[in-house]
Amino acid sequence: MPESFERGALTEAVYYILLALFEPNHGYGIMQQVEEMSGGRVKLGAGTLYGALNNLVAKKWIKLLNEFGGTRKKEYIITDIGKKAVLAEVGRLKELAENGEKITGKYREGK
Amino acid sequence: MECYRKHFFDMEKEEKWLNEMAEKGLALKEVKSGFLTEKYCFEESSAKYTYRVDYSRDGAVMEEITAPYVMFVTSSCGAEYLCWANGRVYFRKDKEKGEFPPLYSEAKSRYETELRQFGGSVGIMSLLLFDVVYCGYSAIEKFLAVGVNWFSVLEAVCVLICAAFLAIFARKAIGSCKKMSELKKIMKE
Repeated sequence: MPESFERGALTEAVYYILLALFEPNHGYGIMQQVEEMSGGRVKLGAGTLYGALNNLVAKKWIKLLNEFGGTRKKEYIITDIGKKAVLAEVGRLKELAENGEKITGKYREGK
Repeated sequence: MECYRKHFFDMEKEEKWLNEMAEKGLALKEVKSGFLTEKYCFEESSAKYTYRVDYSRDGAVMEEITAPYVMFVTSSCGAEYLCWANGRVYFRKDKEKGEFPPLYSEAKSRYETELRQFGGSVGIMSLLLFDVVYCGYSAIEKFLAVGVNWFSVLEAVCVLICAAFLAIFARKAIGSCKKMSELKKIMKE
């Protein structure tokens, strides 16, 4: 993969999943919290969430909390690497939003 | 109990059909794997269900109910695991218990699943292709050397069976390709 592709944006699902994991959380909890945070707009599918959790564990952005505990409700938590990724993304999104505001704001004033 | 024999290369179409049947009051009870088609058995039910279908994720065929992905879906969505058939898992949830959102909310994750499925089909195809070519060659060689005997007939039958499976998996791989190109279009939008 070219180097320039690696600093891509996080998908909406991954971004919200990471935010939901600043506190220990399990599958159902993540779904609920993400739906709530996004005002009902983002409804994570179980297959999408399952795949994303496995990918994030493999990347060490999140980790399993109770590996030897009950298997029915696995709890996850974000790692320091994951937190760094979220911070970088928040910065990137801020830049996008600010530039958007600046340009469209001027446009609105001009009208 | 009403049963239908059908095969869906497209999982989304299958899911849609199952949900349409459920709307009519026919709730899927079980799916049985077959050679070319699956057998879908329905029973009349007053409860309205939402059905969801997915590829089996963990490669486990036996005791699928304890497979991590199945447990994840049942516990996080409050859904019920119905059955496993021909590499697919079937879930349902009573509409009264709440919504059962589609298993994939992002095209990218659906694409990744389809890609995995495609890889599996191609893997099996390459084994079958090797078998067809190798055994086919050896069958022809024997036939030319000693004519028709029980061994060359047996080998020819073997080759034909492998060729039939090869065609099925090729059809699956083409189905996956079509789905992936559809998903690619959605991802670009």
